[in-house]
Amino acid sequence: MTHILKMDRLAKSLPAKKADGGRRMLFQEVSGSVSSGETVVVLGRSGQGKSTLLRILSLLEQADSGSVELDGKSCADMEARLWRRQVAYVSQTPVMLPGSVEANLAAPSALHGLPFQREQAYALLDEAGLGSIDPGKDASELSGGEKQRLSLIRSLLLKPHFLLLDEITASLDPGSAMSIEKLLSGWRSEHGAGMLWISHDQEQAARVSSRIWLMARNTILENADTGRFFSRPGTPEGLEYLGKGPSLDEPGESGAEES
Amino acid sequence: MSYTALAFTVLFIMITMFISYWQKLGLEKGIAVGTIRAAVQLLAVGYVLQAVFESRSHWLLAAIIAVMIIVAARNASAKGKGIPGIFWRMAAALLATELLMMGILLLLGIIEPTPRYIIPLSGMTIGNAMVAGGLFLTQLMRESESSRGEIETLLALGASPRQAVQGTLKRAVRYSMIPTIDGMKTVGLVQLPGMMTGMIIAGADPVEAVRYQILIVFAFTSSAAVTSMLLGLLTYRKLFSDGIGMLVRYGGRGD
Repeated sequence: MTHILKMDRLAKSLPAKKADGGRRMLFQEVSGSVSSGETVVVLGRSGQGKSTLLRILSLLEQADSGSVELDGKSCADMEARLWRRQVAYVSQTPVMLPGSVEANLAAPSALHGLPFQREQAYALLDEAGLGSIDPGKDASELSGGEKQRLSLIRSLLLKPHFLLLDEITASLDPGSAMSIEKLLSGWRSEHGAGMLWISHDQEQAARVSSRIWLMARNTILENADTGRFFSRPGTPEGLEYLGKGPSLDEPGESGAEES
Repeated sequence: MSYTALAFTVLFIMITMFISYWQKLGLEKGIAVGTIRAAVQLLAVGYVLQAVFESRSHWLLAAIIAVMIIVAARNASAKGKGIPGIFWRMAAALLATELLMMGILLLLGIIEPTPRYIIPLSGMTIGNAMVAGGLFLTQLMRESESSRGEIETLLALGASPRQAVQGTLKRAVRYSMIPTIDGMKTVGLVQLPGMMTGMIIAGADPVEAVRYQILIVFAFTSSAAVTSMLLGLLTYRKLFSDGIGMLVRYGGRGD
């Protein structure tokens, strides 16, 4: 079955830094949707509210206005914990739950009273390059990169319809990042999960996504096919983001060699 | 003890005042207010107790315990500033603890059902429960900030609010019981508890005094545990917003 995660005209403001009690608009008029089996990468400069957008989609924060729907059902009509099982958020800073590596892997099943699928968990661990880790090790002693991968696998074991990935390869070496990309693409074709993935790595974005959302000027400024975005961004901000400068008239080339 | 003898105890206050003045601690005003309040409150309570013991009115007894609970709840709930309805939750937890303690003591015939026993034991139970409840709230507020990552991670894995704060609540309950348990371990060795000392000075047999003290120590332990746990159950939902079960910030950075 194809699932659709849809957001309509989301707006979010934050308290202004100055003590005048005003609010600073973060974004508004953010609309879009992700379907099963689709990977959308969210690009944009820091401070555009990309992480906040993912947190709103996982109901960890509330939008000021607008709506979020899963298969036509509003998040307001659904119990938050059921929503979050289907729309799983993997945060940028991985948090290990108290206990061992295995306790972390078993947490999703323990929370939902399901049997722990040990084989699958360890197969994923292996695929992520963590096969040599002692499952009895205290998870808090893992390195940053190990934590990041473990936290991703922990969320995969929920078997969600959608994955909200916040810079999940940021603290990984290029080789490990590649194996994560491979793991996720395998997961997507096997389970048909849809992905909304924040990345600052343009090459990665070009590799993994079928669509790009560019967040700029307080909204999703561009919603374009990946190939088209990298060859012919539709806005000056898009050109600027790709480092091509607003005046440059680049012919249709992949943006993969840009950095 | 005569009132003349009592008057001489003001000497202790004067020593404290002198040290404060000499060392520029700036505590003189606080000490003066504290001294007057302590003296007036205690003397007033003495007369009230005298009246209650004589009147044998159940209503008066209930009123006194109600006042104890209200004052204790006001004091302890100040530690949970910002949590909606915290005063009533604290009062409910203290009342339930008091009813449980007195229920056990009276139904099992451990103490006589007279104000002479009920009032002091209630006061000590509620007082100890108040300290435990205050510590619980302090720690809960601190933990809900410092364990924010853990709580949100659990939420993101589809945990119910209850499941998400389980660990946080446990740590806050444990923290709130530390003074009670430490006190239990050293009682009699480090300090002779006030009640026991009082009974001995008033002429009671030390072993008789110790029997009551053991009762108190045990009752304290369970009153602290019961209060913290009840409070945890009554407050944890308030850490989350009603609509979508998202973690609320109290006193932290506003967002």
